[in-house]
Amino acid sequence: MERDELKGFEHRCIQEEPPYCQAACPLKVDARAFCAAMAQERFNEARKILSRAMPLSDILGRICDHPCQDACILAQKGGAISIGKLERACIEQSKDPGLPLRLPSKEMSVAVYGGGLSSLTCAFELAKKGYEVSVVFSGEIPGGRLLSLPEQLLPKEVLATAWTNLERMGARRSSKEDPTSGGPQEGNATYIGLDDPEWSHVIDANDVNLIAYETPKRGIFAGGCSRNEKFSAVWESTDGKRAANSIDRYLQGISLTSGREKEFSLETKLYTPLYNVKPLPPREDPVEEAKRCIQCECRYCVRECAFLEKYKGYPKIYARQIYNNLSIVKGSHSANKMINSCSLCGLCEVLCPNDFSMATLCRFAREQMVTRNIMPPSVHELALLDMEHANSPRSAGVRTGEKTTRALFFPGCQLVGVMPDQTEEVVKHLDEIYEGKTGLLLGCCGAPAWWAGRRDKLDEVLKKIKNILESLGNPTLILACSSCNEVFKTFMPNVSRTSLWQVLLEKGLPKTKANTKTLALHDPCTTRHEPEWRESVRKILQIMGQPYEELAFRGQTTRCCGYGGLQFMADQDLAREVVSRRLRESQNDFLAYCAMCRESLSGSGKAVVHLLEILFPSPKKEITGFSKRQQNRESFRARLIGPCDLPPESWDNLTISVSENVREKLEKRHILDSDIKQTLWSASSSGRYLISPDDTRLASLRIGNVTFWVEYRLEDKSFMIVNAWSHRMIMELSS
Amino acid sequence: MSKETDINFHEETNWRCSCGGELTLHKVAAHYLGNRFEIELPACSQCGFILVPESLAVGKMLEVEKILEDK
Repeated sequence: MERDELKGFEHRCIQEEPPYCQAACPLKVDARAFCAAMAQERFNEARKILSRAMPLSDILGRICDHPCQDACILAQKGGAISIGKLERACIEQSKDPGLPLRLPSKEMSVAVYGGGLSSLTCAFELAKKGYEVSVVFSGEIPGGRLLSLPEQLLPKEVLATAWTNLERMGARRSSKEDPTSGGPQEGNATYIGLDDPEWSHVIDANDVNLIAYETPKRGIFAGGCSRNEKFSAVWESTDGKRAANSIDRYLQGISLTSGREKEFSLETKLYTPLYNVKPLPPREDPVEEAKRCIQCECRYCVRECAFLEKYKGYPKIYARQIYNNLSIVKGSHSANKMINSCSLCGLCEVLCPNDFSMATLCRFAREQMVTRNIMPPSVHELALLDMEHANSPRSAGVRTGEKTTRALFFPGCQLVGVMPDQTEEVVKHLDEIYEGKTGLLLGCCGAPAWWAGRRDKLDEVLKKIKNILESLGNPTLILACSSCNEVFKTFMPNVSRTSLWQVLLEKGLPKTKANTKTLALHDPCTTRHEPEWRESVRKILQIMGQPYEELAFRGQTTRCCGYGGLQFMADQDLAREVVSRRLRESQNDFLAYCAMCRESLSGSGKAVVHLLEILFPSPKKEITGFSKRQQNRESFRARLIGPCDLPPESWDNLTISVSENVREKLEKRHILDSDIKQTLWSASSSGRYLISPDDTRLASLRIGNVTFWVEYRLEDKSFMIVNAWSHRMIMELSS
Repeated sequence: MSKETDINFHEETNWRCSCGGELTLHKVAAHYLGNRFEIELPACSQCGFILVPESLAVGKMLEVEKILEDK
């Protein structure tokens, strides 16, 4: 990944954008962090947070006109947080944080005119930066227009203390009379605070440039202007702070404005979803009020995705980790598992106000890992071998229509594997309604290769399919699986496609009875952008009179079943969590219309039925598993297209018996019946195995990249499998 | 060998080899992705059949395979 591409990805994630309150504050006070500290009664910490962005917080904290509060989005949920009130409470209940550190003297001086808040702030900021500051004001204590505020709101003592502190920071009182007389002097500058009535006439406020705070006279800066003809304490303070920054730049001889966009901006791109925020009315007690703050952030995608949540960050951080993972030359690629665990379902992209797609990022990263030969070899191997099996002559093949082939039914590898009986019924039904003009194409579309980052293998599969379609005069593909649809849509957009559901709806449904129970309808993630697929299914259910429940996360925002993107290969625990979260969304049993959704969601405590099981009922089957699916594909092919030309394998006829417990272990360990039979065949032929005192045997065989171990007992003409395990390391006796 | 890739195995085993030999601890080389480790495993003293016990294969060995795959 190039740096620019990474920046593009990072830029889309808005999690690090400032909260609405902070963006609206011209001083950029982090009101979110401030509220968090107040809610925990950490008043001194809250004061520090205020003072970090707010000079002279002892003054402004009492009188701030809090634009932050107007920006608070809780106005839509019970009422904005009274941040102004909280600031005042904080000032009253916390210790003064003391004088800030002062930089070493710069030996340059600035004359500050006026005793208003803008002048005091400007003097404070410049003194901090090491300038010699002289302040010109009348009367005992400074304050300008602040002196007219009621004592209760702003005690005079606070202003007097502020001046004492400024003096302790090196500021001196001066009595220069005309700030505008004389030309600019080297190492000198002047600030005029228009918020002090005594000096407001010296410069016309309209002549002040409110970005750099320059006046037409070089070296003279001004601020403290009213906004919309109103005085605003926070803007007076901001003027002083920003003008001090300009004066510093002026005296250092650098651009007054460049790189200050964030300082001037009052915008944020943050998006905080409020759909699960409970409205609470404002509270009198400041701590209780601060507790109402929802600590605005986005994390919309993270909250709704077990994968994004698992890694405890958010897409911007993940993009950086993935970039680092691809850039690392030596050391551990610690983000491999994360990259391979995304289900590529696309929910984050739909939820994100900026369309950040983890799927695009992870797909890209997986392809890069394959190209650079750093993809862990074990992670997708079984899925790729399974795809190879589905496309081998034992499982794949084509049968033309009896008369012509106007349409070609492509059930996909998983439907045939999971529900061969229903698939056969569909074929018969299509033959009937199309009057012998539909063909049948068995095989896998290549989706597992796409998900595994293996574009080479995907291209190979697609090329074969393309050739078959061309040889049949490009018939319309009837698809039962929305993942196949996604592959064809993306890589063969010109191929004519339709969904099995659309065909059944248009050409006629089989006669069947609806399930009496209400079922929660689960849209597969690959129908997220296929409204017609989803609509056809709903229409079928309505025609059949099948009661169904719409889940909150449906249609465009549906959730993955844990099979997508080969998530279950990279992280079985995560895939299980994804399933259980999905099932918790409803009390009802589930209805799926993708074979893998049905398979993945099954076996976790809820009945999951596939639409074809209602349309073409047959005895209910639970999860099939890898081995059974492969056997189903082979026998389906033999039944509907005819036996393949390859001779049977010598171990095909071995009979094995596997208990339910052992079967579960085999599935989890990705050990297929064909691996077991081959290992047993080899042990029987060679006579090499281990034997225990109770006559249990242990055989081993290297098949491809894996060494399999099978523990078994001999039974009458069959092998009872006791246990099996595997490893990828190769062992050799050391000489 | 670093601690994270230490996959030695010293459990007692009841297995004996179909050739009639006893299983005793042998020095064995484990290879994966261009890496080589010397470890001790039970192997037949006559024909050299090496046993990789389940606990090792699905435990430490799997862990080390994953570490090496991420290197």
